[in-house]
Amino acid sequence: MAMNRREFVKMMGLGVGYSMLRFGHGGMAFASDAPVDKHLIVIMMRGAVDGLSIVVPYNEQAYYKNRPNIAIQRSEVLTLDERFGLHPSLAPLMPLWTNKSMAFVHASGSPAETRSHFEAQDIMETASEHPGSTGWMNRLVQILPDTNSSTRALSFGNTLPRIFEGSYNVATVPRGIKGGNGKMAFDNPKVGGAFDSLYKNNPELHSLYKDAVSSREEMVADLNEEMTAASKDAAKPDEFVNQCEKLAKMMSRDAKIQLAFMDVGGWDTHINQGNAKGQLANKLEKLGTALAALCQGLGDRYKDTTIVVMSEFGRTVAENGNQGTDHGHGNVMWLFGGNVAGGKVWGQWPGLEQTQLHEARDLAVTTDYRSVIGQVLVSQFKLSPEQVSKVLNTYTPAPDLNGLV
Amino acid sequence: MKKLFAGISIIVFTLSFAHIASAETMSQDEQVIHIINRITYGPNAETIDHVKKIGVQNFIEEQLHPENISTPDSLSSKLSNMKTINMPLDTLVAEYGNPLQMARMDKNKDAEKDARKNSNIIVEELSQAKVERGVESNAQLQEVLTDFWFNHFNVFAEKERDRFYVSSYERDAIRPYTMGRFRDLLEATAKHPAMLVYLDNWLNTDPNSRAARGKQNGINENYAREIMELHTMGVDGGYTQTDVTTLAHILTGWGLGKGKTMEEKSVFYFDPKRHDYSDKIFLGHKIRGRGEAEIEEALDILATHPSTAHHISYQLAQNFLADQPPETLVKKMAETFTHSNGDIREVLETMFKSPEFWDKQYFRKKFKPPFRYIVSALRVTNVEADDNLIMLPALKNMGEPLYRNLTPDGFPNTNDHWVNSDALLKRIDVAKRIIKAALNTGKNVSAAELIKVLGGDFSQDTISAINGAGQNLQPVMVLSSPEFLYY
Repeated sequence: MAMNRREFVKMMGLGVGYSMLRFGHGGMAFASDAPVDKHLIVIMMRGAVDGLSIVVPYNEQAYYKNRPNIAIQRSEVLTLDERFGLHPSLAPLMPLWTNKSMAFVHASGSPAETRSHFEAQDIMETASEHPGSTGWMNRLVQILPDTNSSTRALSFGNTLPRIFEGSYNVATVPRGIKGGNGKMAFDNPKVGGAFDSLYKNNPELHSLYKDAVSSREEMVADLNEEMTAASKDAAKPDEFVNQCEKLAKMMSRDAKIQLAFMDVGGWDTHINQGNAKGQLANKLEKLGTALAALCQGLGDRYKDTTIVVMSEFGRTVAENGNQGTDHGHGNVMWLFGGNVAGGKVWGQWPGLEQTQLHEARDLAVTTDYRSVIGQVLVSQFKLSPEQVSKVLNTYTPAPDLNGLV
Repeated sequence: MKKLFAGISIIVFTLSFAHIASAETMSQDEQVIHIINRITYGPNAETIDHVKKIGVQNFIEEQLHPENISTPDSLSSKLSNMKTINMPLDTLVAEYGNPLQMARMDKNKDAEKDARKNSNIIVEELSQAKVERGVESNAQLQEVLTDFWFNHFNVFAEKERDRFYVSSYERDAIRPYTMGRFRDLLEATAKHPAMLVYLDNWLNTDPNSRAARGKQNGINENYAREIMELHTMGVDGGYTQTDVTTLAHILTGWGLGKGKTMEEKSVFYFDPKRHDYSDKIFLGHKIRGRGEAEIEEALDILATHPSTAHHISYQLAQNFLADQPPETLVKKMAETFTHSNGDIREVLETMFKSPEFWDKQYFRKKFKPPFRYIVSALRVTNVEADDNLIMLPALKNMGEPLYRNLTPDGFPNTNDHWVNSDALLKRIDVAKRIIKAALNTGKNVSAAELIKVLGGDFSQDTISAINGAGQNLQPVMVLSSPEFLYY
């Protein structure tokens, strides 16, 4: 089992272990020639979203045969190419398709057999099937050139997602953080000093505290001026839209933010999924708005940023007995960004006829999600094969996506 | 070269020494603090003296029998002032569900909004009661276990009708069975409308049955999968996708009452007309198609499966002892689980009596999740119940919105999820607010007093850091100290 930071620190018994770790240990070579001005945002749709409703294979008879109530009709999709159409709720994203900065990789995902949400998410976030592994984005930040900022890697939400677990202290962007208005006790330097001494002999808490205070300072600074402008807008009811806007503001202002991760839940549509309208359509509409806001809000930074949207697995090709779908296998991954070869649905489409399905029920996986990530690592961050292997836990990306990013 | 080798041998020596040291048993004083930390929400002003007086073993015995523990008057009176927590399920539905259904039928948006708003009281009072009981109940293990089992069989209060069911779910399906037989707990959750709605089984229907139509037109695998993955065998328990599908077929018709009103639809009902009567093979067992009895048989198979004994033991040991509990302990607990026919109290006893439970390496190593952090802070400071109102939003803000965990795996209870920079800052912030509330109500929350209540074993480093700070900050620092953040 991989050792995490806490165990490592415990073993070392002293704080020295930590600083060694933070600044690259165990042969984690820095990518000294890697560009410092490239950025990656990963968005995880937790709950296994139905990719066949997102990028609809509108030529497949089997798609309509298997989904009498929940299919998106050919006349309803936003045409992407001669095979696929986008869910109509995602109309806000079409300008990004037209300007060729949005791409999809269909029939992609993890080859792992599991249909457990939690296990599949862990696998995707660690690039490992061994429980307890560190997150691949934590391994990645340790390889990227240090931008000397405590907000190099940002995580949204209250608990640390698996993808960011590991020896590097990732800054967490709490719900409801504000600019200068949200004063907390330790913002007072005298108070802050007291806590610093309170934790000085506890390596875990001390490093956490120091990183927390400095990343908080940077976040407050990042948001301070921008929030004033934002407050003119009407409050957005949807939290994910808010998060996307917040992230866009922070990253557009602060070039030192290299990695960010957000998750958005509620995709486990076992009942009443709906079709062009309904439950899933409503959620996708919010998601589309949020992603469009993120891409737009990044401004100039967009050209140096890649956004990857993924979900732990797909859903059954056939609708179930309650006009929903159960846990499946292959899905679609989404990519955005200035470097993305967009306007194209990538990947090999395996078809939806019974004999073409995974275990006779699910969309097959023809592209490993790690190959998609690998493309970003190589093209965007210029990582060497050895470094890619470290991030992806010895996986070697397949070459068939060359040119995607 | 020589130097390098010398360095290596020092590391080897240190490691093996650490191993020997880690097998050390806790001192008696540590044992008192450890048992309080693990089976209660932390000491209040009386706990340490109480445990020292009656002894650790007697304290465990006392906590394993909540039926003999009386409820403090102040808690009883607070709970009796809550309108909904003792309302039977049908009354809850009549009072809060029917108005919502009627407003919807009338397509009256305003009335719907009002009805929805009125029904918020159910989850609000339940959350409030959870905090009050955590702070004041003397049957602390019962509260810790209610939280554990609710989380194990999690439902999400915002899923459809579950907002009307959730307090009944905790009261009727979880509380009575926390230390009882696992099979009874499994059955109670399986039959409760809250679970039937949450994991969709009320819709699960044999597609070839007479009654298959509309939204109840076929199989739904949701509950079948989660009952194996989360509730019983565990994800590595050895079942296949075929077992999931088969169990879904066995579970067809296991659902809710028919009828037009929400009350009629809010009771457990097995619908033979939607059941798949074919013979089935589930986890290697031949199951004769015969209706409801198949489901009882499947629940028996699941409850007595060796993987379930292991999975439940692991989960309990992880909750009460260590994020990665020692396999030797889990095995002993699983044996007890099997021999005792799933008697949860006996499994707990096995854990509390094991040498592993008292291994010094586990002393104060778990990082308190938000609810535990807040309740333990309220207990040590003796802050009054009314002040807890501010705590519910704080819990949401810290990542533990009570009864509102969307996914069936519940809230995490391991350090890897909770230890992060934001978590630390928020705990300091909450500590400040609790101390302020204590001072406003004239409580003695001097740092020295708090440390005494907590057992007095704070490290010299912590004490000198606290003493070096200003008077007002000192108690906040106690609640932010490593000794208090971990349990």
